Amino acid sequence: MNTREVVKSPGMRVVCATVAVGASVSIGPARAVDPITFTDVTKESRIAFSHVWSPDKKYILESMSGGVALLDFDHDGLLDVYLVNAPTVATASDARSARSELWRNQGNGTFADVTDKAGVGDPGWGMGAIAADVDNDGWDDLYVTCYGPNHLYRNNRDGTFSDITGTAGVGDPRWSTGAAFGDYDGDGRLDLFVANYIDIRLDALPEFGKGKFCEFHGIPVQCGPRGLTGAGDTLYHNKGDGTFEDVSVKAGVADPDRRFGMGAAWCDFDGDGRPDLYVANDAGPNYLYRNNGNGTFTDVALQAGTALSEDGKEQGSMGVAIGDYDHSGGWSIFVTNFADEYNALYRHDKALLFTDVSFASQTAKASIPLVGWGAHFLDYDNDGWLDLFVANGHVYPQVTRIGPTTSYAQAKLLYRNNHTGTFTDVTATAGSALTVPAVARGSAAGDLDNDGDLDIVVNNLDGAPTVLRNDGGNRQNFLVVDLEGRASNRSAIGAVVTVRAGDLVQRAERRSGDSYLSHSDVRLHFGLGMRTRVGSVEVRWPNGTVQRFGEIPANGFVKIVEGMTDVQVVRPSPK
Amino acid sequence: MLRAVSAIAVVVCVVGGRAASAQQSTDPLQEHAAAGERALAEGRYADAEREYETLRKLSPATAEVHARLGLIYFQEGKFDAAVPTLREAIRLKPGLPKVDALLAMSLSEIGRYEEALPGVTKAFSQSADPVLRRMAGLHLQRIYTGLGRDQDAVDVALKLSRLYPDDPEVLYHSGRLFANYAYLQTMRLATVAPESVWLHQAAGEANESQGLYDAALREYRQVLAVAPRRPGIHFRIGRTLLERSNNDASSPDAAEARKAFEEELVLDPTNANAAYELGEMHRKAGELEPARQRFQQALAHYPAFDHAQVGLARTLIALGQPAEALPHLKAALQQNPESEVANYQLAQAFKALGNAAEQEKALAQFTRLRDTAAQRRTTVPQTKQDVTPQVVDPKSPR
Repeated sequence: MNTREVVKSPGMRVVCATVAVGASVSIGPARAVDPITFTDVTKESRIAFSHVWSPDKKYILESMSGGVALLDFDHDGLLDVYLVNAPTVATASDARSARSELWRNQGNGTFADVTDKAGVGDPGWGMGAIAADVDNDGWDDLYVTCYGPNHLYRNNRDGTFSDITGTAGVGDPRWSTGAAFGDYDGDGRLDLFVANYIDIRLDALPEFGKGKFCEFHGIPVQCGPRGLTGAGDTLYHNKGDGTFEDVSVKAGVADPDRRFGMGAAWCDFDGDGRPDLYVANDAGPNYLYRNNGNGTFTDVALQAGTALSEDGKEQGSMGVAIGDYDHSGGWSIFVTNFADEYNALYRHDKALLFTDVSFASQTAKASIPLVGWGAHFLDYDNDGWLDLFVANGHVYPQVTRIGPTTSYAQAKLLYRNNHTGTFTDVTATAGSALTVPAVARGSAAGDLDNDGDLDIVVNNLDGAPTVLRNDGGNRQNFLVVDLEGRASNRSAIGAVVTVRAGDLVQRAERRSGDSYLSHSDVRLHFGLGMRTRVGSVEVRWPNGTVQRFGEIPANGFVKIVEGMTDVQVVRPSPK
Repeated sequence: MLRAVSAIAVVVCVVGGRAASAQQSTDPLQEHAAAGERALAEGRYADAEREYETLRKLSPATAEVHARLGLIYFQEGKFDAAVPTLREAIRLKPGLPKVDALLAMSLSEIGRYEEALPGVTKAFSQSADPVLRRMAGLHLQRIYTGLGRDQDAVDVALKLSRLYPDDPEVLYHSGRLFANYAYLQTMRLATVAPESVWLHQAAGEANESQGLYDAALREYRQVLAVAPRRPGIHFRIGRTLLERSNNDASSPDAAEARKAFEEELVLDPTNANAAYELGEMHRKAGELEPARQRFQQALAHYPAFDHAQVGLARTLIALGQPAEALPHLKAALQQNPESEVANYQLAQAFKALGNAAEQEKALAQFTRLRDTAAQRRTTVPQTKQDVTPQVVDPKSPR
């Protein structure tokens, strides 16, 4: 039950809608720390998920899963966690050997396994997951990519889901990886892009260590992706009647070059109100598809400067993060890459023109020995500037044979934004949880405990996930903005929010699907430093309409519904 | 034995005409000649030898038969038998073309270099037939080596490399010769000056090139123990440390390498390589202003340093000065028009300047080079460079 009260109305009304269950909650015992740290609270969270793994990873199929989605599937105001699982080649014949799991946030720092009740535990050979309201009924649905047919689970609004893949026609049968929802044609319905990786059959897997592309630094390893054939990508157009149409070829995003698709994200890079699409390709040039506005796309990545490294070399790209880290008003792209390469930061200079500032921004060097996967622009310290997080972990367990300095399990990376276009690597001082080696894959960021700072969940290939609680990020102020579309898609995916607080101007875009095979909290989080109020909030909805709102006090969780003049405060300040 | 296959091609047209003409007849001579030719054509050298030996008995005064038999012996590697047979052909008919060359090459094959030398020299210097000339050149290279006339052998190898730049056999033998020469020189160095800085430096470089970084560092430090102000050694130490640190960004090697390059520049401010490496290290650390200064220092002493031109250009682009980057990229492309990275960076500079037409042009050239290079990389191993190259080569299945 919600209660509504006006808390501020300088020319408009701000309404407080307190969710009954919505008191600020914590994950594990809170403690005062300085500096801001991330604490591994996996055990306290009681998330007992374990990703299935093979010790030797003899096949590339066994190295790429899985993702994680943070969604509020039951509308209780708390982020729940869906973790994707995958079997090994040896256990592949047992369809239930790898159970993907949905963990419900109980609001007290712990989670409960509701997979069986929800009916989302058996998508098959799972890779990634994203969530959005595809039928505009106000509840987030779940899409899971797989090696084999993908699955679309419709939220039944009662804690259960129904698999509507067949009816919807979105069960791409190939080896799918990253996926992202976006309304590319502005019809108010969310469309779906699915990146596919390799065209490979379980009964014809390339033999371990046998061949030119089955060696790493001279040691035999699993083969691929070089030497194998890519699988092509898919764009599904939402027809609004519960079905989707495959428009990949017509739209020009089918990937005829058969590159090895990995992470994908929609973003309106050129500010024309139409979402463009970025696709990270492993061992191949990345795509940046400009939305032509007529149902077609043009790959402009090479011209834009986001296809390759600054040497003009293709990199082994995995994850994608997008954000306005330099407050330029443009969306920059961060791409995680393979070892011996560097994670690329493509700074957005002007419409669809980027500069590779990886080294200049001081984010590249530390990444060279690491294999990067999940990545986020996130303001972990609430200073109003986007920082960077990267989850790492090698592909080959055999790398330890190269020498003591090369590791299979790897530390994460956390960079603090210096507000000058550069970053400082603060991994070592941000809590030991970040330096514990792990074989990380997908990661999602969100405020799990609604305390005003961003936490992170990482799905690890070899076993348990890592739940990282942000301790101290909320010592500075923040504003969390949730959105609901009406004329636009209900999830408001593609909406852009601009928050002004004194001299601080930030923008964020609502997105479904990014990082590596993952889906983060769709609520937009703005750090405010020590500013106690926001001067204005502007929302550009996906259909192009713009709404502006006046002052809002800091440290609130607000919701804006398209077309409504009220800003609802859905959760009081946790401070 | 040098490859003799082409010898047939060389000589068959010379001595084959007369012998083959016997095929038209039905007498025993003609039958043996025809059978011998068939066997030769089919590569049945033992059969060909038998037929021509019979022919020689039947017609001992026919020079062409001796020449043909000599050729068959040569082809079979029976050089001891080839020599007298070819001599007899020449005695009977001194004017038989190219038989002199075949005799000389046969002598070369059995190590009678002094006797072989005049004939092979003549064939190499005077023959208009490129195939014969090539073979003679390869033999001459071997003869000079066998006679200990290393300088002459090197001269021939260089000449052969010029005449046949893409010939695998020529490349193999010249490469082998140079390597052998280098080895002998180093052995000599070890004999005459076992404790010299020169030997330690040579050992250091040999170890470094093989990736034996600890051994290389030991040798370089020996050099410095003897000659602390010797130029170039701190640079080599820096390079070795840098290579060693490639697999471990957290090791202290990179920091030590930086120190070594700086020490090198104290000793020798003109060492462009050391300045360049420091420029690269600064650039990769995001220290753009010091990077610019180091690249400029490198170019001040070595303007034709294409890697430094690219490094400086990338730094200037990162500093928001793409217009200033253009001349450096153009200079780099003058030095090395096939540079992928220079073309790519040129496109980036034009992009930053908003010059879409020039950007497209540079991208087209880059794409062409990239496709060609990808093709080449599948067959040609990448070589180590003396400085950190302005490229990143894929080392893995990804």
